[in-house]
Amino acid sequence: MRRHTKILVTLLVLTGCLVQLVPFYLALTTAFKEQSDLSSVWAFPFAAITWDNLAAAIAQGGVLRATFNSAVVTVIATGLTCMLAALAAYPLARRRTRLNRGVEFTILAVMMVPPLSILVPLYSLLNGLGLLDTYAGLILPLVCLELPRAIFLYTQFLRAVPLSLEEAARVDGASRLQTLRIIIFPLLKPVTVTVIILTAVYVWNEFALSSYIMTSTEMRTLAPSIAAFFGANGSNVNAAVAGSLIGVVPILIAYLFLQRYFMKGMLAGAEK
Amino acid sequence: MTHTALRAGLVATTAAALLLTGCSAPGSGQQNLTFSLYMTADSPARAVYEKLIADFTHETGVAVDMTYDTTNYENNIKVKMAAGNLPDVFATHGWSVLRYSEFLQPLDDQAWTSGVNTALNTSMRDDQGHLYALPVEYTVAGIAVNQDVVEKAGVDATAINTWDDFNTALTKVAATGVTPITASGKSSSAGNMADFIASNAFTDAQRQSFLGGTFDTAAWSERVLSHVQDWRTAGFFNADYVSASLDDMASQLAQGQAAFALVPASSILATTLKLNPSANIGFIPIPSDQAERFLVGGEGIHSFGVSKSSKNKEAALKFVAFLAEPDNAAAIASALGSYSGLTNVKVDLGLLQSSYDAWVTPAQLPTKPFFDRVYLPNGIWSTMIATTDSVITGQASPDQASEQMKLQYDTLFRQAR
Repeated sequence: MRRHTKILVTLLVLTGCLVQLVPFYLALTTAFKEQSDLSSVWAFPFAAITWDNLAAAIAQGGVLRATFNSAVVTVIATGLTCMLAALAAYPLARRRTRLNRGVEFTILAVMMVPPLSILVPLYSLLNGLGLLDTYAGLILPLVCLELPRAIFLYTQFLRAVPLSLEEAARVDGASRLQTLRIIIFPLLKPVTVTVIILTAVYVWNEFALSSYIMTSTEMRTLAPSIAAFFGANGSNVNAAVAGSLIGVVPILIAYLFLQRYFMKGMLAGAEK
Repeated sequence: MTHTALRAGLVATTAAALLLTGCSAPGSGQQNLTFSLYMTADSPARAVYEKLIADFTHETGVAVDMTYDTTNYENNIKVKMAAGNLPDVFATHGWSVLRYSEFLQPLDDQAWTSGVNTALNTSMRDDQGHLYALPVEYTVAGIAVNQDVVEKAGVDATAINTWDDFNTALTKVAATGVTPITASGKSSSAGNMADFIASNAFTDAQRQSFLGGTFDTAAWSERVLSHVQDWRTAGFFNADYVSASLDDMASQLAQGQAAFALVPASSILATTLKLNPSANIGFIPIPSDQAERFLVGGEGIHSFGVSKSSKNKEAALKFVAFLAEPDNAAAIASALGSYSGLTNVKVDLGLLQSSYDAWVTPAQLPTKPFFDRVYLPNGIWSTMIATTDSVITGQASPDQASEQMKLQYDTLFRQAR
């Protein structure tokens, strides 16, 4: 690579980094600034850093509890989505019957239903089942909403897996379930990582359904907890931003530990 | 990822899902009273409510589960209403009669109703005179003003009677280099502006026309939106209107960068004082070309009704009566910085006290109901914001915006019928 090309690439990368980091910097200046501090949002309050906003986010917004609730919902919903989607995708990919094509088409069609259009019947159902304001009451609808895309991704991926692998396993005496468990599932790692990223990000950031289903302060998830600082008669942006920063921490930690898998997953998908 | 790890993951996920399916919110299974509020997480009123709830539980043995919501509150209550699962006691936020009366227990037989301010009769009692909510908060709205800014421009804000007076004041303020009117495209301030003007803009015949299903496009354009258009043409609005939020409006008033804001005082003045505790702010009556100047007001956000279908109705009525006790209602209203809807409740309103003393307490000025709540069909609020906004930003003329209002009015009116 020529020298000036290197410089150009470096500049582009630095610009990209800057664009990503500026909102984070603005969040820091806002979170550590007094609400009555009307100085520029670009100025970091070195002389008068306040922890009040973080304290308000935790004590009044219940952000720590909300982060825990979001983590519980995200982990379980993502796990269930991956498990159910992989199991559902296998027969859809391998047995191309007319019925299975119809099922696949129907599953895809479900993706077009806006979640809020079924809100009232869904709310009534959850109320009848006693699931309002419970983890299960939120996890089950979210899994249902995420399954179609996950099934689609798994189905497409499984179709690219050579059938000869399964036939070889059968010849070696493996049952269908053993073949699935020992041969097929391990091959699904790249697409599983993709599904985990898409599902987890959606569930972690989900606001619309959570705000209707998880109404008590103890059960509220992260996004509605932060939104509780914005009202018709004024907002506490500083506390809301402080809450957002707290909410980012688990994602950052998860990404630091799992980035190897994420990168591999994305690259493996791209190679195919 | 090994097979063992995969298996362990699957087992753990399934086990956790099964386990959590059985989990429920704390306190479910008991007959706790449910109480829903329209309030932010950091509202000063929250601590007051929590204390009052603890006192009520101590006194009666009835536990109360308080939940609060903000911008999503209205939609949340609509969903609960549709699902037949309304909270036992909930904030009616200005809609106890027009939207919720069918679902609320009439409260006329409650002892505290004798203390309800009669000025609220128009907005809080139905045709039969039934009252459906406890008005802990009485929203009285005028034009928010920074007194220092207008005095510096040589304007006596208390002497503004007509829209011509107001326009002259705006011109004088503009000449000092300060923004005459602050408004925000990211909040409902455009709707508030149209609502303020419309509340006393029409003749009786025109009002009856709006009420009866005929949207008078020419009157709306000429008597409401033409004012907005004139202010836009004269450059009286803040330059950052499109990107400004309600907090930005408060900030501009607090820093003396703007003179007036046409939004309810309760929406903006508390934030303004938080940003600048020594800001010389208050509110003035709304000018008019029809008879005399006026205030706009009615049922506040913190008004509480009891669900007709509540299984804990007796306890719910007791709780509302407990909130209506003068000391308790005063504690809530003080925390909110709002005027109380109960005449036996005295509230210290701090720096805003002088405005309330000048315009509200003497009860000499007429208080008109919010125009949209009484004369326009339910659901038109967002269109009112969007159409007024389109005039402020120059995307539509008053006539075009009025036509748009009429379209939505006709649709909603037909749906309501």
